[in-house]
Amino acid sequence: MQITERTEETIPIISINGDIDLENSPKLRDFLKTKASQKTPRLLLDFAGVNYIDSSGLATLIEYFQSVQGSGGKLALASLSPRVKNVFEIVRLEQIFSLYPDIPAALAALKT
Amino acid sequence: MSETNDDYILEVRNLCRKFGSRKILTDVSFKLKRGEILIIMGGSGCGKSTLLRHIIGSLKPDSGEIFIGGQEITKLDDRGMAKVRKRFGMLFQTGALFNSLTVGDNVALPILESSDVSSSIAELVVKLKLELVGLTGFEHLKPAEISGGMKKRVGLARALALDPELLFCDEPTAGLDPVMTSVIDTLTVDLTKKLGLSAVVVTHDMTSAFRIGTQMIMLFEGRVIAQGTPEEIRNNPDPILRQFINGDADGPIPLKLSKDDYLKRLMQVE
Repeated sequence: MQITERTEETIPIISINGDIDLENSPKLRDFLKTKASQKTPRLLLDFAGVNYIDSSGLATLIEYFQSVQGSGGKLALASLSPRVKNVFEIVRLEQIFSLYPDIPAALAALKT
Repeated sequence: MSETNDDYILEVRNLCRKFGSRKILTDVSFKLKRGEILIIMGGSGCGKSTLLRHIIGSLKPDSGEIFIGGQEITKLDDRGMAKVRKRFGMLFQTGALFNSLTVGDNVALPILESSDVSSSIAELVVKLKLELVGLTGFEHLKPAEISGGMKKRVGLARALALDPELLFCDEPTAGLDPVMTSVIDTLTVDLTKKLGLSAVVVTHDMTSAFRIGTQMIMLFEGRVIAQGTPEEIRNNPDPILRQFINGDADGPIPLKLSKDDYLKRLMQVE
């Protein structure tokens, strides 16, 4: 799994490439912990390169969400494949996380 | 590594196993397509638990092959098998929970054992899994504080902890009343569909077998004597199968009570 970061209109866009599974989710967790400690107000996670996410991956996102909730941090997820989206829906997380079809839609939502 | 057709999550080919001179499994072969629920049925001592123990890699066959997700497993060492085991979950007959641990810790066990994830992540995964089996909020209870049906559901949550592709259930409804049996059956069917799992269920509960199975095999004296869809099994005229499905005392299935060498054995000086 590769994590790359770029900034667009002051919003950090984190592109994840590869599977988010038991083996890789600790790496994503470390990355997001750093973001949380920097009190990143808005974060966009680009899922276009993610084919698979397991429960530990979901838990990692939940933990980040919990940690920034208090400071009003916003999180948006973009470009989830139907298979990955289904994993969120099975445990009803689509009701918690903001999922967008693509990066422009997610950016627009984070700017409001 | 041999490959089989990717449509099949499990394939058993010509499996044979003897314990001493006793043949326990003879030339057992079957395939399981992804997304299907396979029922292995048969009477006590027919070899169905032994078959399951071979499939999960805790026993090695005398001959034959087993493919899980295309990978042959009978010749794998412990390390190789540990990797394959992450791909399947196992629900044991009694739930097999650790009584000294809470429900949550029982479900977290496979996660913490097989990965480097932190305990806070494992705790969140536990919450996701308990919700799947309808037990949100029960994580702090001990197994002794919940009912038999709930224990089975905790066992199911634990079997799902590592997001398996394949679920094995050994007599999942044994010891449950008809209502709880129905609850476990419904949950098994719903979850396999929802999560895109395949399942192998060993049972001699015929109501349950026909309710959840999409494929069935009948084992008798270590051999597969019938296999097919529930409809095909229902219409199969094999007298052994008929007797088993109908639960008749009379029929070709031998009644294994003590034989007439009882007096001889009794009087024999050891």
